[in-house]
Amino acid sequence: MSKQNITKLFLDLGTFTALLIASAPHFTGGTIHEWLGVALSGAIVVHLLLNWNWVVGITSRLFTKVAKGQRFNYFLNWSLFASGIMIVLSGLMISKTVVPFFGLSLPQNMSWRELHSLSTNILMVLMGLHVAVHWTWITNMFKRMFAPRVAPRVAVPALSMQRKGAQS
Amino acid sequence: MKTIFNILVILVVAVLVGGLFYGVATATSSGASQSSMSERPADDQFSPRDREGAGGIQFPADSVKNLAIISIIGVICLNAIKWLDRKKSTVKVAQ
Repeated sequence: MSKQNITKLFLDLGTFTALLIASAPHFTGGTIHEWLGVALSGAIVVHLLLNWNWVVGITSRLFTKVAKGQRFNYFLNWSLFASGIMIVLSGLMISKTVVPFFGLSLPQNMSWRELHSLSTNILMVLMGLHVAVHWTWITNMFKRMFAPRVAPRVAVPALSMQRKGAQS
Repeated sequence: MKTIFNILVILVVAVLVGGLFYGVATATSSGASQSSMSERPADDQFSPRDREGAGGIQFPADSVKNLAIISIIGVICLNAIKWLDRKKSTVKVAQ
């Protein structure tokens, strides 16, 4: 199991947990909700950077020879990205902590609030699909991580041969 | 250097998509009548439920709800994928 895969797994788990926490502003309070949202957008950038080769690879051959599943996954990821941007944008437009922190003020409009909750609901549905599409990868990673490490069997005959040689 | 370029690409795409959304959202809201409830008075706060520290630590109901949504959608999608795979394999065997 490569180091990058472990990084991906733990980053994704952390992002997923943070997303669930951030999706409950009544639990966290507005300040944590907003700063966690900003941190989540940074985590998404790192997530994209870690999967950059896949993104570039699929984009370059999207309309030629890509399996249907891969194409679906590609458009699903674009939808996730777009809904994430919508959440961040509408969140910033109704922000009471982050935007004022930078000395800015934006016109208050309730339609941004409606868009914020709508895009959050869309993101949760898309996230369910995203997790389902990658479920095999996730379970395989955990299986490999917690599987007992077996010593390579190839070394055993060689050792026994050496011992026999030493005895004779 | 390559990573910085990749980050710039992501940010540029994000700004473009965000700008598109902003344009659509503002055009839609300005097209609607101003007397609608979309405009919020300056002194108005969010509903009492949204206020911080209203009642101490609360149960993270929204998180649980969202986790349930993700789980249900995920299970449905996983079963659909499995069903499609089974269907494909039976078609192959029949051929």
